[in-house]
Amino acid sequence: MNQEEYQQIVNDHADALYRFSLKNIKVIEEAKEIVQNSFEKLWVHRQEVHPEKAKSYLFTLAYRNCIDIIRKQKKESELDMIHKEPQQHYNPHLIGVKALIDKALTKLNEIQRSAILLRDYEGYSYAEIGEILSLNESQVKVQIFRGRKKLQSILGNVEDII
Amino acid sequence: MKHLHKDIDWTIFEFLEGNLSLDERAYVKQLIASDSVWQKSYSTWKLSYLKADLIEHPNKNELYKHKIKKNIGFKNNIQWYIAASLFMALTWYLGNRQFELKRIKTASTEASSSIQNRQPVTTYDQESFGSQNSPDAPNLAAMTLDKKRVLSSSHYGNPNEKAIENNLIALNNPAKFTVDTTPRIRAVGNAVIAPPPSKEESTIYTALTSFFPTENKKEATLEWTRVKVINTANESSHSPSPATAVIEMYIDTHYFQKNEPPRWQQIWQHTKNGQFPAIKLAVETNPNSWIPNMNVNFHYP
Repeated sequence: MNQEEYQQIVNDHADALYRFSLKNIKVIEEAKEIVQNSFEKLWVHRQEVHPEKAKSYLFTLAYRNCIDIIRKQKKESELDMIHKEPQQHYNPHLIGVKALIDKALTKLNEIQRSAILLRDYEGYSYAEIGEILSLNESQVKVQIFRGRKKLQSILGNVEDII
Repeated sequence: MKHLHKDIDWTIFEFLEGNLSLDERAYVKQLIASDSVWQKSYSTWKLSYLKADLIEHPNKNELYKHKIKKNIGFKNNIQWYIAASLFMALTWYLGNRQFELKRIKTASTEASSSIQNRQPVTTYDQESFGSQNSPDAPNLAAMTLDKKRVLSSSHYGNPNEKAIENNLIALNNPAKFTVDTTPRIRAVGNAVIAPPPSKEESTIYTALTSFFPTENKKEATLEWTRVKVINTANESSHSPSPATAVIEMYIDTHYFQKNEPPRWQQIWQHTKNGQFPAIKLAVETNPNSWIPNMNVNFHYP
């Protein structure tokens, strides 16, 4: 990968990677840092990574980075969420639909969330998602099903309110 | 219908994921349209699909890798010192060169004007020789006439005047001359004359051969390498000016060889025996010519 190809990859995937990271960890600065680290590693290993594989490489790095961050904060953040908002019903008039979906995403575990984000935002196949998440296709499919089922239940209740 | 699941959620999930064939899709569509339970399930499942969310990286420019700018500066002080020294040396050289060129130009101008003014500088060593009461007085007079004839013929109305001017400049700037290193060994009479032995003499020798573009040149160049001029005007005894040396040599060869052959032979014999004469020169202004009158005497230490 030469410099021009790298620039093109930044141009094509930086926003998506940032969105993926932000949706996963919800902290802007940390999401930016994850993106920065991922592209830095890509640059360092540019001779080994084919441009066509760069996107997958970046998302794999970002996902692993997200997992690390999430695991560091897992206990207290999950406990906080469980104790503070265990059965909260969101008022779409107050927080907006996008924020509601983002909140709902936080209810998923990192694998389900990442799988759905990669599937819906990036249009990845089960195989590609499996490559990033280190799962096989069937496992990906099940994780996505379970994640959507959970989202369905959360957002379905909201729709009932509306 | 192999992908169709008994579970309604799985079937709708497969439908929304796009995993069904065209027939299966058509079948599920029909179920959704005709059955309210399927319709409700379909509506809630649709909510789980994330719609496009335009989020842009706020600092994308930081991610681009720009070309590395090479540092054209110097890494340490030593390199700066070296660069500064080279610059100063170059400046000094160029300045000095300009000065030398200007000096040569000035010398050329002065030479031209001096030819017109005909006012030579007078130097006189009365104590050593050249007195009118000297036993050599008649010879000196003849020598002066002879010299005047030759040199003046080179000057007045001579087409080579410009060349002579240039040679005068050269004589005053011996360092500017290219040394003629061609070996010149000529037999004159019984003597074998070696080429000029030193750089300074070579320089003068070159000037000399340019200064006398006549057949006398050979004779004029011969004796000089054996002559040591002392007590000349404005010069140390070991460093005669080229002009003085040329004149001395000329006088030596022409006067004694032609007018006093026995004495010339005597001097030449001394020279061949390794006894080199010291010539004392007195120069006095000649009101009728730009070439001064010169009195010469020889001494053997």
